[in-house]
Amino acid sequence: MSSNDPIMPINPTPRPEGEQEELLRIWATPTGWRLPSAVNNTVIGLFYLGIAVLFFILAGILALIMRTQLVHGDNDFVSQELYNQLFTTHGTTMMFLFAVPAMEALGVLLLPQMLAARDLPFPRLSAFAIWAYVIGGLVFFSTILYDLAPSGGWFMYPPLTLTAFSPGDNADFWLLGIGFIEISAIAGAVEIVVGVLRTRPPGMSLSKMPIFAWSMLVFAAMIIFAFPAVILATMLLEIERAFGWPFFTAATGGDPLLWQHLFWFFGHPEVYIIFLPAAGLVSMMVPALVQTPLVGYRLIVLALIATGFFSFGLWVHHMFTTGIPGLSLAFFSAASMTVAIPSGIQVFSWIATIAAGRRRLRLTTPSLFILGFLFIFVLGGLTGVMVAVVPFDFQAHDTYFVVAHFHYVLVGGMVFPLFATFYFWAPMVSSRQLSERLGKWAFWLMFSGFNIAFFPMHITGLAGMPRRVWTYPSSLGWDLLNSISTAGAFILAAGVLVFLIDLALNFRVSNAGAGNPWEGGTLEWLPGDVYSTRSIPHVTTRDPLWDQPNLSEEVEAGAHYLPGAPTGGRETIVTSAVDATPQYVMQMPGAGWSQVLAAVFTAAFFLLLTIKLVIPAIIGGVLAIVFCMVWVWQLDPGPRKGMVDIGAGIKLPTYFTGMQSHGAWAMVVLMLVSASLYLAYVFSYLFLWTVSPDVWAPANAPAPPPLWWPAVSALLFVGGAASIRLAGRLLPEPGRRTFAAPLLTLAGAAALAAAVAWELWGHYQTGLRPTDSAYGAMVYMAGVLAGQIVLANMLMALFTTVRMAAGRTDRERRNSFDHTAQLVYYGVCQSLVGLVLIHGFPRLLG
Amino acid sequence: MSGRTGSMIGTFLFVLFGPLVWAGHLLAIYGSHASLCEFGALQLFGLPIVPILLLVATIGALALLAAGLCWPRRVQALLRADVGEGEERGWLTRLMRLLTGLSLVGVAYAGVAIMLVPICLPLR
Repeated sequence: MSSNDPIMPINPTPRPEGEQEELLRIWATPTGWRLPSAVNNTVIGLFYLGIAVLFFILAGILALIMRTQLVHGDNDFVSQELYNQLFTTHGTTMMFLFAVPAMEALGVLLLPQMLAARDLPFPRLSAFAIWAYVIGGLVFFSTILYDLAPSGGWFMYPPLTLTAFSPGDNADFWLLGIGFIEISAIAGAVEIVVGVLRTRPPGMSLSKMPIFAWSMLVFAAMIIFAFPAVILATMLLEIERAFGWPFFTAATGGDPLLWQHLFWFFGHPEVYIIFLPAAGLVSMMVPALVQTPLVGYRLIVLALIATGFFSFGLWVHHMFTTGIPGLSLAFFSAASMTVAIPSGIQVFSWIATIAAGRRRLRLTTPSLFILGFLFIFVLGGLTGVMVAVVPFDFQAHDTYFVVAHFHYVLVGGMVFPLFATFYFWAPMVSSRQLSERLGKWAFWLMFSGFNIAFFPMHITGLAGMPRRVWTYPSSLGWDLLNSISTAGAFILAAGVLVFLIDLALNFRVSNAGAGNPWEGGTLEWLPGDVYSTRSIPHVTTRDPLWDQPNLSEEVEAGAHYLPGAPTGGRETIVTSAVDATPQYVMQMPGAGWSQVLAAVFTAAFFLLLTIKLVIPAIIGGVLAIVFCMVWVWQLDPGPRKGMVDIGAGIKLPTYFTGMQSHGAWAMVVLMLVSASLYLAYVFSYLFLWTVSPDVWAPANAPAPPPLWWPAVSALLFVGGAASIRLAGRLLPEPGRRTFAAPLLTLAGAAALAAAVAWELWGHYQTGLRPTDSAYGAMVYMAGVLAGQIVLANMLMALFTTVRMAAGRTDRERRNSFDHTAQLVYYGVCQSLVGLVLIHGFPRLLG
Repeated sequence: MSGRTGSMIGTFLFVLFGPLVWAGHLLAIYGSHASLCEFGALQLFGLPIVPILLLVATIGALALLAAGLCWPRRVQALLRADVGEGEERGWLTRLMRLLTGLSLVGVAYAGVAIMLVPICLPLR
């Protein structure tokens, strides 16, 4: 069936009695003390968003304390050390605990509704990510109350953050806490990629996808490629702090600039990771507000992809003053200019849509926040072009000009669209709209407060005031500008307070929502309940509610796809990625505690490790793994439900194996994350060699073991993969058990472990130690990364073996096994690349 | 179910053809330039190796992008990309061309710098 086939009739109406009641029962949200076990996207999405806003408020309070300190020169309202902790925690919280999570939360909350899916494909993974974030985030933030907060700035540059200059656990809270929260962000990204590409309604091909879905796809892809770089950086820095492996210590061949490269390879895309979903939201709101399809849909998609992609080529523009040759700077300056083109396309498209509107843009609260966003973001973009010009950047670097610039970009580009979103989409999840009157008050206070606070900072910066200073001498003439900025900050805070009052007075959670007050044309405005929409619509245009008459009534009457629950459980339709042809019905898990406990113990592992309670941390880690296994044990239901009818005579399987299954897609995304992390490692190895070739083997370090040594490792790796492959062929028929497949699976995993141990032992035998030099540290780090993947391989192999023994994995019900095999093959490929690098490169030099 | 052959990974590579060439170009010119300047390896057989290398990489990237713009179907076949049928195919192909065109601007922009900025001189 293609998207051009006739769509009606799909299902006869009226629907059988009890069908809707069954949907309500199956998708019911737990109540009372069981609420934390809920996995419905509307429940956990709202919770996620609420916590993100809480962090916004907390980090905002820190900003007010800082502005009070800076209100005039020579002030001693807070101590210098506390001020350092304040700006570090403010920046870190805003970037890692508010901005990215708020956007992921909106993805969790809005995407299934916009795609008319019953939920995202891995509801428990979403819940796990959210709980991990909540626990990790609250513990991290609370460090400011106990003088334990990091003080090295949100980018934590070494050598300042090395143990010699930052003793104590403060920096470790950043490194382990934020590293852990990034894992949660990656889990959310996996969910979003698979959700957007595979759970769209039939007919919603790529060219008909809502722009927000496109922006979330780009957002998630950027997380997948950007976050691993900073995860590797935090691993390296934490390992150096804990064990003395000198990745960043210049005296032994390391280089602090390696941190900057890795951090900004993440940090620059991070700005767009925050901005692009916000731009996607604006692209959804503007057409609804003027009742006109978006002008230049394809160009907006182009702009989202291009901005996301090109943003990876800009990281060095944060390092213009580090001594990199001028021509290299010019390459990145050119890339910085190039990225301005797609950003500009979006702005012109919104203006054109407003100009072409069938209805004049009324000055409602969402419109005001959108106009405020356009004004502020364009100014931030223009100063961005200024700092992309190398000579100007030399002058403005590390001054308040840069503080003004990035607040204009981030607050303008993300916070204003977010507030527009709150006012626009509140009726989707609340039985009452937010107040227009209070909303306008909130906007004007925030808009004027923001500009009063941040516009003077351009001048303060050009007058020479550096960033991150605790205080300044009154004689320098910066007092008046700083006093104005402080007044603006409090006005901005008053605007946020008005919004909170509005929320308290008018926001009332409701599954049915308050209708479609903006007369939007996209699917989230379909009538719905706890199960999302009554039936899943067949989509033929980009604005189905405008172009398909009676769609709301038909969907509500159950006339479209999957009006009931044919498997008797939670389910949604999986469609093909390009043209959204129905492929199978996915069975989904419901509420449960395992993912919550897994998150609690994962957080315990990281946080106990931070305060050096190693044994309790290990116990926490083991419990986290146990609960992860309990969680996934209930998945992979097998084909016993057979084929089900979803309407229009289409019968779909309820179980799917192979590379087209949604689980296999998630594994591919996970492998991309691992590959990104490994590429960042390969870059680090080569970078440190270019900086300090004098510490590299064979000249100034023990030569690598003889070639037969890595050959044995390689044979063990390949043998392990072959063993798993053979196990896959020998899986038993359903209802039978064999010894061969479990034994081969375990043997394969053991071979991989032996390969890693053999490799590390080989280097140890040569006399090389990881603490000797950056070279030694990099060699052993390759083993650490290989060991990490192999540990995951071993756990998954053990899990699969137990499932085989329990009769839950066989030739037909095989997704658990196939996913294990996928990760094994990837791990072996990565390890072989590592062997070539570690054993080949020094020989190439020698 | 769709009877088309072609993979989704191919689709991604097809749509991102231009940006991927741009990324490869940036990686090649930045990596080679920074390393050669670091080691002071500026001459090979009496020729200025750095600008020659950078120009060859830039011309190669521009040629590749121009080819992608002119013959998107061939790129699609080469990558075994699933681009749907009919309207969808046209939509994705035009998207790929637009991205390739923008990447061409990006590569040319970086390439111009080679002729304007001193090769290994730090600017401050």
